[in-house]
Amino acid sequence: MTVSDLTGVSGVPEPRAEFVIADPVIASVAARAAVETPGVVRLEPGLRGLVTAWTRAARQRWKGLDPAPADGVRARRADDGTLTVSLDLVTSAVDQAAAVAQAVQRAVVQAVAEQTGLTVDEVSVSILDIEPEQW
Amino acid sequence: MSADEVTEKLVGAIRAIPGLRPATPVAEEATTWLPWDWDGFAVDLTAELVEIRLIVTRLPLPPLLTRATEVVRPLLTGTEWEKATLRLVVTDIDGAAFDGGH
Repeated sequence: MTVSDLTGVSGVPEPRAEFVIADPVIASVAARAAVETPGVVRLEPGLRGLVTAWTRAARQRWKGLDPAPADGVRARRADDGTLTVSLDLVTSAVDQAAAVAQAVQRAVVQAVAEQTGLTVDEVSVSILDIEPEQW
Repeated sequence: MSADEVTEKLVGAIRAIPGLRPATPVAEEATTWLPWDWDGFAVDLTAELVEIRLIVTRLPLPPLLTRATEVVRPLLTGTEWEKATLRLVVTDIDGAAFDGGH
């Protein structure tokens, strides 16, 4: 969970208001930014991620929501307040993997800031596979 | 005003904001036949804290949460929760939010 405060302005004491954004919401925003980055073929959830994704999708259907996938993406707020986003993905052999990873890092930081108002302190990208060029 | 009345007003106010809905455990259409206060699941009222759990169906979040604060805070005025901290918790996001929202 990630918290931001909205307190009174101009020194006038007002009751506090705070916003909490759950990690899966941040992960969904980051996932969307990553899959739209050129050179990213797909996000790779792994076995544990598949179970998490399946239970989340089931919960979202139960709530009447369209799925907002966050497969292969984890958002974590550390005790010191640092927000970290980790992504596991597959890139295209056509693109340079390191350049794609850097583009993903930039896209995730920008998207999370724009869509949630939160600052991501660290984006960790793991490239699990490089997909060969399709003929 | 009782806690149930305040909860009902808060939930109604949230429903009226395009892009937000209260975070009830199941979809509204699936619960109409069950005699249960599902809306109550989305709101907790204590002396120090008013917590409202939300689902977003649009992005970006900051203007939605600011709007929710502007709408909700006046509803607490004159109640025993007037000075309580207001906490808005975004618990989930609708996939449609990425395509312009519902």
